[in-house]
Amino acid sequence: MLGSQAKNRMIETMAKEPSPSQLNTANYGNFLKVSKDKLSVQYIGKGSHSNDVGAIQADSPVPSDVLVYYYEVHVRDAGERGVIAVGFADFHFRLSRQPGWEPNSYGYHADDGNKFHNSGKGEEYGPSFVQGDTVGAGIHLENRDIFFTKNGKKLGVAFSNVKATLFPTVGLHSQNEHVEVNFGAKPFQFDIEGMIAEEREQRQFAVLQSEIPANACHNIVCSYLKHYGYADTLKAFDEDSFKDQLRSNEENLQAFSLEDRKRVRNMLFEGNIEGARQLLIGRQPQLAHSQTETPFLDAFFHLSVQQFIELLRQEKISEAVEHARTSFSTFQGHSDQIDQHLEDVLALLAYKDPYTSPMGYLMTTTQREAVADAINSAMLEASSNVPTPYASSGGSKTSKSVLEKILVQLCRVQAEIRRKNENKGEIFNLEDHIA
Amino acid sequence: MKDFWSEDGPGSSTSSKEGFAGVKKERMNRLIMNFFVTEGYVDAAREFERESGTTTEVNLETIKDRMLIRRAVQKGEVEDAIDRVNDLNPEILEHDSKLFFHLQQQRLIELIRRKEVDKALLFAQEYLAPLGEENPGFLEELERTLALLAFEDPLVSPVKDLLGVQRRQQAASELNSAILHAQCQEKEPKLPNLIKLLKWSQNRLDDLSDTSYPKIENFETGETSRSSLQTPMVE
Repeated sequence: MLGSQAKNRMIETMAKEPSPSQLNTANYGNFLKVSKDKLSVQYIGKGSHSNDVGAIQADSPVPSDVLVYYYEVHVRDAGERGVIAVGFADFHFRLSRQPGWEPNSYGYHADDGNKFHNSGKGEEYGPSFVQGDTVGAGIHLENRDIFFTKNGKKLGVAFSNVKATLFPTVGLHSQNEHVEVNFGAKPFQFDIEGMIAEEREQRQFAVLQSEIPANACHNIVCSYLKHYGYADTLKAFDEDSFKDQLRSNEENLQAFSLEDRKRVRNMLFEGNIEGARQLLIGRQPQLAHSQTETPFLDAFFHLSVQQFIELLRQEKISEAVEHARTSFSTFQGHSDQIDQHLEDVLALLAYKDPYTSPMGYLMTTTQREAVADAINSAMLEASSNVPTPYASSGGSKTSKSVLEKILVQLCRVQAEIRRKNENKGEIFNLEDHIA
Repeated sequence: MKDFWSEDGPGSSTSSKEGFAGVKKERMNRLIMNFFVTEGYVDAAREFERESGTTTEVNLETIKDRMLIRRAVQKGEVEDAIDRVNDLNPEILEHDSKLFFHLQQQRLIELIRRKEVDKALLFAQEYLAPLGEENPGFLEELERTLALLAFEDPLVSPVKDLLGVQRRQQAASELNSAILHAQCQEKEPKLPNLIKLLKWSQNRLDDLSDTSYPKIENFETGETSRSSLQTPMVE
């Protein structure tokens, strides 16, 4: 919980999947000559037999984490018969066949403009293409369909329900055929960015049509402020929105009122750890003797650690060490998390300037806020005066605000949607919707 | 009951793990701040800045106009709000007939609330009826509003929603968003969009599979369909 900063940083720098960048020259069909830059290929055979096709694939498969994948092929020379095929095929594709003739392969053929999938017989699809034309092939990973373009114009969906992991694949079959492949290093003829933008707009439009209760946002904001004990903000928000609701009644019966939780938060922000501790003990005197019982173990542990940090902040090093010696042992051994956190905290002593050390995050306001949250959460738990076997079960030590429940659910549902889509399509990133 | 969502979240081998167990506090704080700032809740934004340490790039002084306009609508002083908007930028209401109608309708509602029946009728005939002639949707809403006059106690009538706080809040939000749009600022707060995205996503998941999962049905409490019977709310 508190030591999670380092972990999250790691996640955020995770690389995206590689994308095709050139032709695969380690393994390609017969009768082909590939240029030095690995972006052009020429047919140098006779092409007299149906198994004399020379096919070549890209160096990587279509990445699975994009909304739409797209590449283009420019016909420099249509050769003797102009029997070029552009499309996609899987890893096991036979490179002596045209894309479309084999299972798990899809092609758009130059001579007749037909589309082919798993058959030597094509179906009517688009116009034929010749020397000087540029043809594009795209996969919509979320809709799972394949489309083609000719000279910058979209030709419509050619195949749907596409499942396999596919590579961009081109097949040549008559003398002197010569094509140049563009994996995106150069601008495309087709406005793929425009298509993606339009897709997103349509999606956003559909999302906005969803109806939610008119007051949902207000209530979620209110309960968030209440949950974390932001009492003054809540008051200002109520006044700003002219809500004359009495919120205090329900609080009176609880061990800690909203006002208590606010005061503890304020004290922690000012670095007044002792004040916060006194308030807790003042409300629940038994806490003076037992600081390691749930739900207050975490709370007192964090108070103790924060005391140490505040002493460092005031550059009272020897007092900090003394505090660590007398207080930390109470908590040692209660959980691996606690022990790990203690190690991190004590590491601050090793640096002349703790603020710029790898543990510098412990010295920030964010950390004070995190500690305030941990203690707030303990107070909330102690205040939930309906003791229920469910409330603390399921391993969820801390109750979540409605806002957090909604955001977590959103992440989970989005991931589940992607899993149902064979793990293809864009990966949902909550940050994109918040920043 | 076994938790439907596995520890790391379903199919998360390639996706980020954050978001499955919890969400960073700082992100949620930013969402809340964004809501206050775009909706024009200046005082709340200021308090929130102080209490949570969440900062905003928006100069809170510049949203004061919006706040005053919002407050006027929320207090039922619609005329005052309209004057203020026109002082700020007369084109806002000129170009948005739907918004203009809703504000005039709100004026009518406030007159009825204050039991100024004669004034209300005069106002409806003079200002609202002409707008209704241009748009059948407006006319329908006008008729519905006037129905308030037909009940001894409109607060228990079928059209009582018109007198609710929510109604004022809706009008205020609509106006606020139009001002933001005119000022070329970000129009919508992020929060409602995220809630809508959740609703849309759950529906899409339903379309994709028959498997049942804990679905959030109540967007104000976060209660889920599966656990609502078993888990009393802890709050």
